[in-house]
Amino acid sequence: MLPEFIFEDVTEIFLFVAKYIPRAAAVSRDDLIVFIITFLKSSSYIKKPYLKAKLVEILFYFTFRSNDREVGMVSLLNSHPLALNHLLPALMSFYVEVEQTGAHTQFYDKFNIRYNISQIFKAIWGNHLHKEKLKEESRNIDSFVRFANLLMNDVTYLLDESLRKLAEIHSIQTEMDNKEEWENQTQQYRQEREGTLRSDERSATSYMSLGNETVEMLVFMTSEVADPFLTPQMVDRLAAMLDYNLKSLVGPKCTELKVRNPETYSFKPKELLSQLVNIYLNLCKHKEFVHAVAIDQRSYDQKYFSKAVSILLKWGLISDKNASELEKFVNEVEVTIKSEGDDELGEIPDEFLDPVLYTIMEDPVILPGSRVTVDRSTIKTHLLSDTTDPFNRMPLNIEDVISNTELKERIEKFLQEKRQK
Amino acid sequence: MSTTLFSKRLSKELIDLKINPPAGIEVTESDTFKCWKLSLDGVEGTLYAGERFTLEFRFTPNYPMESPEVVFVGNIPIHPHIYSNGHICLNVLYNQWSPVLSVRSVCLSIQSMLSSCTTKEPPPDNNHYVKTAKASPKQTQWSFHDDSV
Repeated sequence: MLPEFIFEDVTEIFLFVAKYIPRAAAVSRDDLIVFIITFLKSSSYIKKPYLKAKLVEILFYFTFRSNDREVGMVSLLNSHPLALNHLLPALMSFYVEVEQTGAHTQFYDKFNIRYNISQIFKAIWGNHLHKEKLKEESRNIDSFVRFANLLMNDVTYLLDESLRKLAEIHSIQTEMDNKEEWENQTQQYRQEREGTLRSDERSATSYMSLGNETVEMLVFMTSEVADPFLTPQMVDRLAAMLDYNLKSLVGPKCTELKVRNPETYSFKPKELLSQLVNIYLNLCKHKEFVHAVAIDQRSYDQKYFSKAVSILLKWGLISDKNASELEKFVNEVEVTIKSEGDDELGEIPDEFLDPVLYTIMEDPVILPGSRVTVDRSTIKTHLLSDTTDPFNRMPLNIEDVISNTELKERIEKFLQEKRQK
Repeated sequence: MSTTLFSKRLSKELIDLKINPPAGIEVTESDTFKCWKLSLDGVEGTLYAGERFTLEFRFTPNYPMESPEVVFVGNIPIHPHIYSNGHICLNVLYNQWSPVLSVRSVCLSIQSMLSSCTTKEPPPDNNHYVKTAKASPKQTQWSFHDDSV
């Protein structure tokens, strides 16, 4: 461990330099990169996440000025060997780490830090060496899924919040437009509504701009590495989230989002729609994803896709090729929905069913503490958000679960017999 | 063969609740897997005997990994842990949720919370809370201090 105050002083100085006199750092840019990446990557030296957040912030300010050749650091990040090897993995693991900063403001802190991270990502992801590194990282599927899961959770939360706020803004604006009725309300009521409107406007703006960045990152990630997003613990929720947001943007309730001057809240519905469609396009070739969309009975509807395509075509935001690809995807989904219905297994013995989800288990495992058998994908999904055994709330590690091979064999035999009939 | 997290699970829960309903609890609305309504009767011999309340459950696509949003709607019981906007202060609905819990177990917890009540009065900070609360009780930072009721 280093004395943290020394470290903090150094970061403070560079943060100041980065913000106000970036030119002053021109001669020491190489050293600065080494310093930042070393400590970002080696978590054991610096324990406090807020200190590491400063490193990210320094990098952010330097990349942010990327159009200024003299002070921008992007070209260095794309050529320095240490950066090429370690920057991307370090940023990804820090993205995961800030989920819990320990401060009471952690819920909001993480979004600020992740905003900075996403900006740095954006500055470097055009580089093919960084892309290679990303592919390499994604082979370590478990840790990548943790990252991907948080990324997806952020998109879910931010879009949900911002769209909800926009709907509220819309409803207050409509209320105010009706002059006569508005004047008839009590002074106190009007003041309250105006106050709500102002606070909604503030939160809509910040959630939306963060949301846009996070969606963009998800588009990029899914275009480069699809596999982690197709794992059983991710794919169903990802499909459900995409369908849900597609429905909000083009479904029956989309008029609720028609606020005045949407751009003041960074709300660009056409761009957002086009980004969502891009994620669908990135994943549409994979049968896991087709299946996941097919089983989403909550928000999926093929007419939302045709509506989205017609909007995007009108504004020239989608190519004919992609439009027909999306159409093909929707057809495949429809076919899958129909065939799912026929796939009836009849009575399934209770012991073959996962006790949490009531689906037939594919890979049953015994939880060491409670001795309950569940499907491996169920407990994995649960552990992403809660690190305890759900049956007795004792701490649990995924490494400690025990494969129930005997039961697995019996389930496989059962399925084989059913299929033969 | 697998299906969205909640749909198999919720259909199973629904069948259970309909075939074998717990005393005083009945599903009144379950058209979608998004939102259900259940009626809850006050238990004989308690302060709420003869009253009928309605609970609204909202499920996210992550149910049962994530807790459902549960509030009283319509006639709100007067109870030290239930705010007049329908929000319920009960730890299993928030930080103590576990995927092993179910609609049935949540209803039973709420029923027993009502039954063990000794004085019908609203929470001490009711006015302040109702003014400042978010639409969803899951966005409230709850502190659970009282286990007696």
